[in-house]
Amino acid sequence: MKYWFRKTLKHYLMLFPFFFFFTLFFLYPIAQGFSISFYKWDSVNPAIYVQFQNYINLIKSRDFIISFSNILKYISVTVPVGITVAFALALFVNNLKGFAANFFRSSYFVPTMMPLFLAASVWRWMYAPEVGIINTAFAALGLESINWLKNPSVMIFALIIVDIWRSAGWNMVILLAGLKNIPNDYYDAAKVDGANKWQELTHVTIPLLEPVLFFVIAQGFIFALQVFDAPWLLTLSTTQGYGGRLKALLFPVMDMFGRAFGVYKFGEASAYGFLLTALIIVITSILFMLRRKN
Amino acid sequence: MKKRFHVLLSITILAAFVLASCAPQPLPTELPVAATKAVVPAAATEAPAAEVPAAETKNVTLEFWTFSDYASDVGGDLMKTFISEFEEAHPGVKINMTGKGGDELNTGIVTSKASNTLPDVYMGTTSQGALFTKINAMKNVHDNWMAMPETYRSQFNEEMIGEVTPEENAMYAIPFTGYSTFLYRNLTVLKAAGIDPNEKVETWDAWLAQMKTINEAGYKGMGSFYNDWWDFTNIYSGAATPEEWGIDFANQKTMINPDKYIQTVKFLEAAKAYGTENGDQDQATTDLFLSNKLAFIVTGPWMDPTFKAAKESNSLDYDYVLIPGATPDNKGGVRGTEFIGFSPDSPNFDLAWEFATYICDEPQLTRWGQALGRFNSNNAAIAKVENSLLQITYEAAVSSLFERPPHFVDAYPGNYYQVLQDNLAQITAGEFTPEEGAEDLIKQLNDTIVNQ
Repeated sequence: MKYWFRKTLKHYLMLFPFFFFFTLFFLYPIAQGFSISFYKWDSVNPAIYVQFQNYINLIKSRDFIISFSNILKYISVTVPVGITVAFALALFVNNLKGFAANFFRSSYFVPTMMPLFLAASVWRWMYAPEVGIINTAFAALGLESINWLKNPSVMIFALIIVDIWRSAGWNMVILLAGLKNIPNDYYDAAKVDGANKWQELTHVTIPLLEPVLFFVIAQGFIFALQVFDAPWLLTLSTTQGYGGRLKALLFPVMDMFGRAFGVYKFGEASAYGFLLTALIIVITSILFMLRRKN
Repeated sequence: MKKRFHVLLSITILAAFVLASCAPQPLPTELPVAATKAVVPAAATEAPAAEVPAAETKNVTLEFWTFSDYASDVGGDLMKTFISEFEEAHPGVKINMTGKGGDELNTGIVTSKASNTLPDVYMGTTSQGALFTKINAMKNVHDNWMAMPETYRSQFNEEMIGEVTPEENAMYAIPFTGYSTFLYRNLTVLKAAGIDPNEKVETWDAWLAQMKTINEAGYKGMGSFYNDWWDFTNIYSGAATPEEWGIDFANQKTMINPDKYIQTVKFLEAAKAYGTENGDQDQATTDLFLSNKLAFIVTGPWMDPTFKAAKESNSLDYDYVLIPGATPDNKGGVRGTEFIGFSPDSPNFDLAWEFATYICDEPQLTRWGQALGRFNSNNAAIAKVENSLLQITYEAAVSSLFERPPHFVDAYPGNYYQVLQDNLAQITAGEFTPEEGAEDLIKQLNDTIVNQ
């Protein structure tokens, strides 16, 4: 024991500041949030212990069902389409050289760098019925104007377009880095074997890019499940009214935020957070299991 | 070694859970209004109207929260001027002004009270007064107010003083500014449609007839009022009386009149055919108005600088009138008032009070009225301001509905207006007829109030 103290204590003392702040700013808030999820608390009155009532109220509430139904619709489209678009862009840029490669790589990354409030303002303008640039183009083609941000049946697609536009550049850069790491020898060997471009893609590129693709897919699911800022800004939501018309863009994080800061039900909001965390863990675990199986 | 590391990590995680096992702490219990006594300044000196009262030197930073449009552009420049003047007269005092959007400000007051970080002095709207007093975020300043010289107090608008004084010996803020909405008209569009702008529109039927004429001439009438409760209320106000709006907290029910609701919805459904689907407050609607494609916008005086700038560049000809109501004796519109409130826990209350009474004094609010053309609580200041916007704002206030009446009684359920917005969406989407929608709305709103 004396030996242990002499030899290793100083190392643990050096690690201590990290563990202290990690505990204080990461673990403690998580644990506190979990604790609050079992109380009815509005920050005004004393907290009342309600066991699992918050979780039960949530699962039975109409908004919870709507938000999870919306998130399933959203991730089933935005993740595969978004990654496909990003992959296509990465393949395109990978074939370019010199100035062209730098230009397109930077251009596709610009939406990622744009502040979201600005991007949302621009897209709201573009989506405006009758006068927005998209509907103006529709009118020129003889098509009817679409109320992108007020028609509940198309609002989710309006959001998906904005999200893919924003995330494609980020995912493209990651996939591009992976493509650059694939040795050309594999492509040379494939050419010798008579493989065409499609066969090169499916038998060389994708298998060798699999670790990076998995990372992008897993990240895509995690980000998509936490979507909040884009629909909030596109629908000009406030804590008094959010999610857009008929709650077509109501998602779990938005509902959680609204319950906390709109109606001051912090217990329910904490319970929501943990349910969502559990869902993210389940989905990520499934992805890892599928990967291991393959 | 590995085992010891795991032991250490486990102890760390356990410590986190032990710390978190305590229940969240409630806010301090709200004191009964009558029992709250404000600290009376030791000497109530009569401050000369145009000068900042002198103060002892001490290093103090006052945290001051205000609305984002009062912290930027013309309002922000003026507020910074007031702050500089006050700081100059109070060496060692610094006022840290933070501008926040309405939603952010309201949420910020609640959460900062919960974490004991309320700003020393802040602005808010009377529609949130009940919520702020419920969480004990507003100091009762009645005694401080009464200690002010009569010459100071008599400057102020009695009705606005009454709004922040819900009962005897209870005054929670100093009223600051107010607004009401009216109808901007694009005269170019009206004339192009063959409508004489001098022709008065006294009823919804006449207004619809004008919109039909405008639409037949190839223009648009007005924006959509279904998107937001505030938009809808601007029109509903033209059918309803103040007794048919708000919440009856004593009987736990909404005061919305279902028949007037149906009447308003039917008017908006008819107007939809002649207008644009863009919301009345949307930028696209403003652009249509500025580009002489849209005839009417319902909004407040804050839009006037934009329209004025367009008029000066000869691209827009406009005026403003009261919003037509369902009948000649009623007009539409929404009104609201803003106040300056004080943290009950601030160690710098005396200084905060001095600052607030300074910016509410006649020379300052005269400058405010001249610069922004919006009415404020200081009658003496308003009397010196010549601005047609002020005139119409006062006229519109007569028949406008308040945002969330009654004030300082009880807090509205956070999702009250969400229910209204959802109901409007269901009607416009065809899920409900107006009659079905009205019946469902009353039921849902009453349930929301009861289950708050």
